[in-house]
Amino acid sequence: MSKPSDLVQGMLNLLIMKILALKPLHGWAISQRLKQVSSDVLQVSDGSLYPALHKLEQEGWIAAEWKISELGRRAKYYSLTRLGRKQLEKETAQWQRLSSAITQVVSLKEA
Amino acid sequence: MLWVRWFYTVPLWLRSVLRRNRAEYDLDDEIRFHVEREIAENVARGLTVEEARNAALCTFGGIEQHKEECRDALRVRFIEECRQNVRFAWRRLRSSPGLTVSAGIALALGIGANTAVFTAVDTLLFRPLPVEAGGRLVFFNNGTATSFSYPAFRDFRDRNDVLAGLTAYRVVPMNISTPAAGNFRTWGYEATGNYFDLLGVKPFLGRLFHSEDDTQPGAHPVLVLSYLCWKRRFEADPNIVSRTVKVNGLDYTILGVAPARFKGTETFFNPDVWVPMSMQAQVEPGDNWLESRAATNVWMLGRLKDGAARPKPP
Repeated sequence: MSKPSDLVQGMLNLLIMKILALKPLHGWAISQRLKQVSSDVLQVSDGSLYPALHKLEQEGWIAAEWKISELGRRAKYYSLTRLGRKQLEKETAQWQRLSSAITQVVSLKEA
Repeated sequence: MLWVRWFYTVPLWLRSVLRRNRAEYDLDDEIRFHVEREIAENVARGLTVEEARNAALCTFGGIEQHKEECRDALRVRFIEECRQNVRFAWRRLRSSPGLTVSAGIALALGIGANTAVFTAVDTLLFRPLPVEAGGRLVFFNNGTATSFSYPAFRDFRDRNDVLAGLTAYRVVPMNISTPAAGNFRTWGYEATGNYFDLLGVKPFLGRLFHSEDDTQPGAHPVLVLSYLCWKRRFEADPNIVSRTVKVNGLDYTILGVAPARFKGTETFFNPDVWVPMSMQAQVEPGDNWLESRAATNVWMLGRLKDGAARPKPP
């Protein structure tokens, strides 16, 4: 369960960006939020979050900045970029289309 | 879109390449912060420090593995980006073949022309003569004139204190006839006796002429062949030394052959033979100018004394 599957990876990216759309957070805080919103669904270890964050940073969708954390030492805070905001809108729309289509299919009554 | 992303990603690449240690340190610190924060959280929930640590490491998963995945994110992205750029460039080039071809031709012409010009300039101007300490040689000119009279040469030679030696030479056409090679017209140098010694040229065969071979006008019917002339006209005859050839009808003794890489002291006038300057009147029948100050017929090449500074160009 350490390496997320492609589907989970896609959801993970979407969730990370959604969480960061609210406010900049460091990695640990993101992992806490992830657990809160989806602990039962997204079975990924805390560590898998970081490769995902770095990939999103590489895409230019999120940007990182070192700031002093609540522990009093520096931590890397991520925030959504303008590019990321557009990507989030796109992916959200895609997700909604896909999930509503699937919902329609799976809720078909068997005749 | 592509360009906008570079705004974010190029600094990351540069940092990972130029400041690798820093990037590595940051990655380490980022993950350490996560674990520390998790431990603090677990302790706050009532675990002992030891338990909190174990639990934190457990939920994190393999630290080294995740770090490597983070580094991969950068590398994979970089390679991907390069491949996309190459493919993009290729597609653009293919979509406008006319432009591609003309750009290619323009580049080829540009590079070719530069190479040609450089090769020519290098040969003409930059490469020193293939002689001993060619950098210490100085060519004489007087304003725009590059030639001097023979009496003027003698004055310069005898009344200066900066030169270890001064030689004069002149390029002249000569008719050469031998039983072996037949008759041919070619270019030769009339050169003062110190010519080869001043340049430090050593013979390939036999000997070259010296100052004592150039004292009395008309008294030194000797010559030196160039390597190419020896090879082409005399079929590289190893017994050529001391043979006789006619130059403008007069018998000359072949003293020796110059080495292959020494082709005279002018870029285009590569001589086939060298004869002593004292034979001027015989080589150029009917035109004896050695004692005339009005006939500026010789070029002069000097060798600076050790310690004499090369004059600065004005």
